[in-house]
Amino acid sequence: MKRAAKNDACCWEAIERNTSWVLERAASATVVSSRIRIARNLSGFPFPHNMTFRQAIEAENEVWRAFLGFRSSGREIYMLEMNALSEMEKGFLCERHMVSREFTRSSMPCSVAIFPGEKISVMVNEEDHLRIQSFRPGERLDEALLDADRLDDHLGGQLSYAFSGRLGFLTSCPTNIGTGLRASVILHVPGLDVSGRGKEVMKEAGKQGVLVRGFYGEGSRSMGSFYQVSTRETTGKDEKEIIENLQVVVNLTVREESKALLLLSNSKEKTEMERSLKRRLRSSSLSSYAFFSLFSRLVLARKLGIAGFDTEKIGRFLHYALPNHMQLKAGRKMSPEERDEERGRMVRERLRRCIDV
Amino acid sequence: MIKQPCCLCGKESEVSVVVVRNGRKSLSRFCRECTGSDDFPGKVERISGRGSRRRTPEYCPACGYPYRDFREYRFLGCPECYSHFGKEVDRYLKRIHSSLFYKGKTPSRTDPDNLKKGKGLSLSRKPVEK
Repeated sequence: MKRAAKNDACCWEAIERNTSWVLERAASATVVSSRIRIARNLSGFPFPHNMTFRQAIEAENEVWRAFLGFRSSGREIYMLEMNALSEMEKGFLCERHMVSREFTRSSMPCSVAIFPGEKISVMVNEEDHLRIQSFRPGERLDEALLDADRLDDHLGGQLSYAFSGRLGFLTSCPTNIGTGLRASVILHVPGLDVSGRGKEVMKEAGKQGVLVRGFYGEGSRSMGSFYQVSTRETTGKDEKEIIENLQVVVNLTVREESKALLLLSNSKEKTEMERSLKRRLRSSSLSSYAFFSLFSRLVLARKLGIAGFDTEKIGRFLHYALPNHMQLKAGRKMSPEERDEERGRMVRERLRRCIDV
Repeated sequence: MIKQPCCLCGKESEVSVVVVRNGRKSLSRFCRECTGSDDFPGKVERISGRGSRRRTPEYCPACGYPYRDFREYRFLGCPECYSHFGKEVDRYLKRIHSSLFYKGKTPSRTDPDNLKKGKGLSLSRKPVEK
């Protein structure tokens, strides 16, 4: 049975339980997760940045109606009106990559639909009327594309998309025109970072026609040894060809990371790494950037045989070190200093116990 | 739905003018103020289009988005802007994309006319009020 819920508390708990797709494999894999994003617009409406309040509501209602007919493989679809959410809740969705940072700042009517069965979130009235995002843990871009395609086909049958036979799908920003598709992966390469080759390899990847961005995409900083690599081209190739190019770059980076790990495992720096890790695990206060950096070092230590832990258990700590996750769990707003101290406490009292070092 | 703005000033239009030139019809919309201006016939002449010599309109006739905003921010106002700011947009697209040849999927529901090469968009229009 499907249920379309509008901002109720139990729906919120279920969202928290069912949306840890992006960082699920953060502690175990080099390719942490894959994402396909498709941009679509409705014909007959101006693009979101040029819409009146009323037009935004009309467009939103049309999309919502189209969602309801979709046969999701999950039991429920969650639909959240962004303007009804608190800043913390919006931030939480952003930290889970369900919505973009720009989307959380919008004052126009906009909403997000989450399909846990398909691991899909759809932003309505972001830069384009529809931004379909399909996620998969690990390197599974093909699967993510299939699911995004299925929802896109359904919506395309219900809604009249802005499309030109010559140019493809028309988007608010011409950089996304054509397929409207952007594929991205989150890579975790602590081996390359510690051996000092991270930036060099990412620069090389940039030359292969992909974009290397921060952890939260465009304009964000990289955190720990996590990088987001995404496709640049949206037209001139079909959807599969666009993805293939990214897959090649990902394979090359994974190979470089394995080489770096091999070199590090034979180096004499392991003792120093172990000492530094123990010191960091005793920190009294940690910013989220420092926590991510510690996390990357922990994963590296496990790969080099210095530390042992259950990757699933440790992976869960990553989400709860993020500012909005932490505040939502505490049920109140916390100052940055308070959050840093809480992170330090979490590391000393809970994380350290799960690690054999 | 999109309110039709005046082709000259971008305000809400109240008058539709159809010009027939060499058997080709072109429709433009204007507000009351602009229709009252002295050189209105000349402006209609310029706006109603002259094939390849047509100037880029200052505002998109479908959504009123100013062309200067496209130049400044590189965003378009509505799907129709792609055809109304045609050449300028095409020039920009050629600069940012290595190829403009579209090979991707087509939506399941679309107006067949849109699929013709070079033909514009699927923006639904209301019948012209005369």
